Amino acid sequence: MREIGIIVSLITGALILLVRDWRMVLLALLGQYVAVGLILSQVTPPEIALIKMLVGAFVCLMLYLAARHSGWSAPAGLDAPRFSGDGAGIRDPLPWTGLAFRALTLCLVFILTTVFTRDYPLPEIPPEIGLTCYWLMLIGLVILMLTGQPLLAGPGLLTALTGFELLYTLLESSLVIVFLLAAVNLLLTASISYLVAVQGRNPSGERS
Amino acid sequence: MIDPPLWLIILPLGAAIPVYLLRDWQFGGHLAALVSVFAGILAAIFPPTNPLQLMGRVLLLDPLTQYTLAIYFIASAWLYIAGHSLRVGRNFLPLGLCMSGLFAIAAMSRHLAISSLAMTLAAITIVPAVQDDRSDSVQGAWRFLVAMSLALPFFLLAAWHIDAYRADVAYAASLSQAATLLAVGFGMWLAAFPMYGVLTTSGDFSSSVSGTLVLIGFPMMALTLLTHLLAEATWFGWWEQTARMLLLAGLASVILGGLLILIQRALRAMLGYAALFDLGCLLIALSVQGAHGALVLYASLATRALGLTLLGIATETLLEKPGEDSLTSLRGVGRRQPLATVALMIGSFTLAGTPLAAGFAGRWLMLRDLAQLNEQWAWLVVLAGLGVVIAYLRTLFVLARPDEAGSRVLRPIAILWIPSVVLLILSLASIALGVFPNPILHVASMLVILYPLPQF
Repeated sequence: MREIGIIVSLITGALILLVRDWRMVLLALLGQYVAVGLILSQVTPPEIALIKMLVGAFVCLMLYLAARHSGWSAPAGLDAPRFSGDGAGIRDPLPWTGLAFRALTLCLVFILTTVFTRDYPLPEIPPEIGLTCYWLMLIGLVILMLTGQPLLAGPGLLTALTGFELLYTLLESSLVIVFLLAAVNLLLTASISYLVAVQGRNPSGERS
Repeated sequence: MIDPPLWLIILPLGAAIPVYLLRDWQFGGHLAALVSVFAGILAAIFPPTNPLQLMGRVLLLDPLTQYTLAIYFIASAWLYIAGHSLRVGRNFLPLGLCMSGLFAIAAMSRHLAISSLAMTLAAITIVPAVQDDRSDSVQGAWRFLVAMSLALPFFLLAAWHIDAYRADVAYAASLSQAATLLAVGFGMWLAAFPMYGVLTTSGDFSSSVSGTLVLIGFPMMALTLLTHLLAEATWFGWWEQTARMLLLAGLASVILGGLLILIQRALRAMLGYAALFDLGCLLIALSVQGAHGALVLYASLATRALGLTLLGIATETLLEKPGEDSLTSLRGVGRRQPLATVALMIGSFTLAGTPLAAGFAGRWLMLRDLAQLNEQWAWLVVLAGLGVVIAYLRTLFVLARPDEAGSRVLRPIAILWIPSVVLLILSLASIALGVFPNPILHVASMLVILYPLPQF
């Protein structure tokens, strides 16, 4: 079960970076939370894994509802984000980050992940879980570097924090900390959703 | 029976709900201000208490925490009462109160993981207020959210290292990693060099009133937590690079703040860089630790809050009619808003540490300590302060010019009574503390006895 979780989290991390349809990104994010829950269920008490999965489901639901209700049209891909309202749309600040660029970035992130796992193993963590942690954190940071729009970068921020949480939950499994981390995730998603909604309502009013 | 310090958490968090319901009425602003003043007074007068247990974690209201919470609560009360008449987001009041309650948890908690989680929750909570219902401010709010969220892992890992060391001395080897993690984390929270863009950006994009709340709150609470950490985890103080890094960050922040403010062409952006300059001075005071290090730090925390509150309210008052915040669109505004213009100058002088303003005494003592270490660095700080003064004098020149070529007709505008009264009171307080600094120095010196700064 742990191996399945690790493989799924590697695949979903890659999808979040490569795919630019926001619905697919949210689906991959949901899969990622389930995969991390599966990994955690093997190494921590199952209720902690369940909390993480439930929080992940809420996170994805909140982001989905915010995106749908704020004017992101259903077929819009992230390469050319457009709003269904006035059609003005907003421009991707980094239009050169096409599929080839992102695929190359993904390869570099994978190399970096293996190097980090080998040279800087995480303390008290099995190597394969350490690889997953590094992978998710690096993927999240790369997404944050590639875009500054909340709907595009929000899943990146959540992915980076999920990678860290996978590591931290193995180090510190206090219920108070688990609940506070869940609160951070839910409030963070609420804030991201708020920004997504504002941007959706005012697509042409942004300054960088 | 609720332990008295817990009221500092319960009051603001509990008041957030009624304030949310009343936020569209003037009474909502008054209620938020009343609760904040009351919490500030409670924070100041509570007697020393024993450590409390909350969900298995220790909370302690020590003298430094009392002092910083009292300053923050009272500064936020001025912002609530004046901000309600100005252009701030609809959720500014309830979210500001939530942030205050979370700051109280962060400052009182003696467990770094809980403190950092509370600080992160506070940052996330205030994001809609930073965004401020303005369509052009999503990017600023997003950057603030990302930086504050990414600081959390550094603190949690550092907390784990520290806990492991406390449980088993064999983990002492990993303390250098903890110190590095803390340096990065505090760098992001303090928003000093090289992370200064986090808060200067939020000052630029958001309303000056909500931006000021953030500019006062986060660095102040981060400095409080850093001081707690230095006092309790003595190994961190022993780390020889700590003082040098703080001094470097302080000097770089001072120089960048003093230089970059000169090239700003918008009033809100200037607020962020003036705050950066002042934050650099606080870090220098903390790192140099000369004869007056702790005294300067504690006194400057109060004068910084006063100066920033003045600047924030004055800036937003001046921008109320023009809407735009570029200097070119503000020509002549000073003639119609003389009190706000004077308050803007006094606020900037307070942060720059010029004579006759509240920040002077602390700045003078800091410069004397710094000159004993390196005289050239002291001159650099003076020159950077001059940069802040010149930038605001240039603003005064623009504000005082006639708004149309050759026209000297003053068009009457509606006076914003509440912000004007607040500005008048705070300006008089700043001048009074500039001329007679003894009260603030006396309080700071008492605090130095009760909570001395750890020595590097």
